Amino acid sequence: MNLRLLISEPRGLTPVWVKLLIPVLSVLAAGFVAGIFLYLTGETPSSVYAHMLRSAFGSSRGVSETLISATPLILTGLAAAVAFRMLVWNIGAEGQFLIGAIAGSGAAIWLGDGASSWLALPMVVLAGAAGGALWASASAVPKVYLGTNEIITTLMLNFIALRLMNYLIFGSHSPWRDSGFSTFPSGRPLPEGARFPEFFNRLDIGVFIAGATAVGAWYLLNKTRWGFEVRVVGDSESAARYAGIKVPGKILGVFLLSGAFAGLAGALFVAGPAGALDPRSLNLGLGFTGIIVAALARLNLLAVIPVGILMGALNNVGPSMQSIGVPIAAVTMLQGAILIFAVAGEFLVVNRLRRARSRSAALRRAAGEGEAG
Amino acid sequence: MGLAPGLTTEENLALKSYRRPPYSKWGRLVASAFRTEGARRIERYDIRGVRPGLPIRLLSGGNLQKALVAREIETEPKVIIAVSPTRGLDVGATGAVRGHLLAQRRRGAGTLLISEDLDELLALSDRLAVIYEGEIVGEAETGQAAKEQLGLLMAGHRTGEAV
Repeated sequence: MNLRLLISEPRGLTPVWVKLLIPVLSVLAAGFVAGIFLYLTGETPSSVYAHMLRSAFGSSRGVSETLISATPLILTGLAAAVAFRMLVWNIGAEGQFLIGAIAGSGAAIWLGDGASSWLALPMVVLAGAAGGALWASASAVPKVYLGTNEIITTLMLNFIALRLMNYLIFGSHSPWRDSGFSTFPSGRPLPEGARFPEFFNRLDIGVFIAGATAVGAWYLLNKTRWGFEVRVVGDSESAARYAGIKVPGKILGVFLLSGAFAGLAGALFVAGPAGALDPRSLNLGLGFTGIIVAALARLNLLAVIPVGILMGALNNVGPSMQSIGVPIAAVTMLQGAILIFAVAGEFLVVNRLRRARSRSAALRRAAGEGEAG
Repeated sequence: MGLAPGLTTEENLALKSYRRPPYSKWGRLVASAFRTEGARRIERYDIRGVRPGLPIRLLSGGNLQKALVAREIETEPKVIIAVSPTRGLDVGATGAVRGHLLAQRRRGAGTLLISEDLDELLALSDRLAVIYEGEIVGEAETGQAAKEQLGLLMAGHRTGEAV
């Protein structure tokens, strides 16, 4: 008797519909498993999911809040995906995001109340991206020229960035701190000129900037000479050196670009929904969630957009779940289940399964053929 | 081995010439150039099993080697250094690779063939030199009769030493 009923073998070229179908099935399977737990805790899974969908997409307010939450996740997901594609393990999007927020809000406060939006908003965006890239360079330069491990340095710099932000708001009388409230420290509101105007409930154009950045990054990587060289380096460093590509420069460039995306997310956040360097709304692990977004998107720079919206929706429905008596942990569990199923589903994207012919059947057939011959 | 395994055959074939037109213009890649130039070389060098979007690592060893030869020869090099160019290949691919190397010699490229396959060396070479323990210990004729002399050199006997 043969217990192996299924054999897996590499697919070679995976059809596009499989690449699209498997992530969708992964999300559905995660919903099913999380539904079992919901059922065991006495909820009706279908009505909980219906409530989730309604609160995320069922109203104009819900859609706008979902897209607001998606904006930083699209960009931090992009930061992780660009880097991971090159085997650069930048897990410092969290810190680069915070530094981007500090630099963006700093530029806005430095320009002051009189600055017009046409000057202030581009400056905020550029300062944020530059801040993120600068923070990334603290890991990138030692990695490229001295061979340090970027996993350690990017991770540690996250904590330094967080302490820096807390110092600016809680530990000092910095320009970032609102001088009006001394007992309950908070960030100084950005001047009106440095705020993105809201046009759809609380939604501003940040989400379009994030989406356009993802499309731009996809174009850069897939359609330009620079992107081709980057893909060669990411695939095989020895082949890249052989082709005359300067490998250190490419790794440095991708690392800084990754940091710039995370920094941009921070700037859009302070000039958008937060409106100030507000530690309470900035310290939500949006950079770390970006790693999950990148993994779910299978490091595809365009898939980061829908996945970012999905994760943004999930991040947002938590509080409204509590209003119907479902613990917020249910949403966290659903997110975790989606990640596990997506990673497991990756196996089916690369491999296919087929039924194993049982050994006894094969023997019988061989015997039959022997008799016939 | 000088190939980027996850990229397509067309991209790998362009690895030495992607910097210039027709492959790229103003820093942009020209997808049609990758397709047409790739198709031309795939046809001429008889590289089999290529499908659009297929990573080159999924080709067989013989076809990988033909792709590698195709890329190197297309740049019309003055000097070619080939190290065991047919090791592990089937008869058809071996014949193809040897044919390309001979064609390059006729074109005027100086070719240094380094191999442990004695038959291959005898079939392809104009001159043969034997390296023993890191030193060239002597040169040999390339006719079939030279096999005995080659064998001695390979075992460490210097030319002119008494056997």
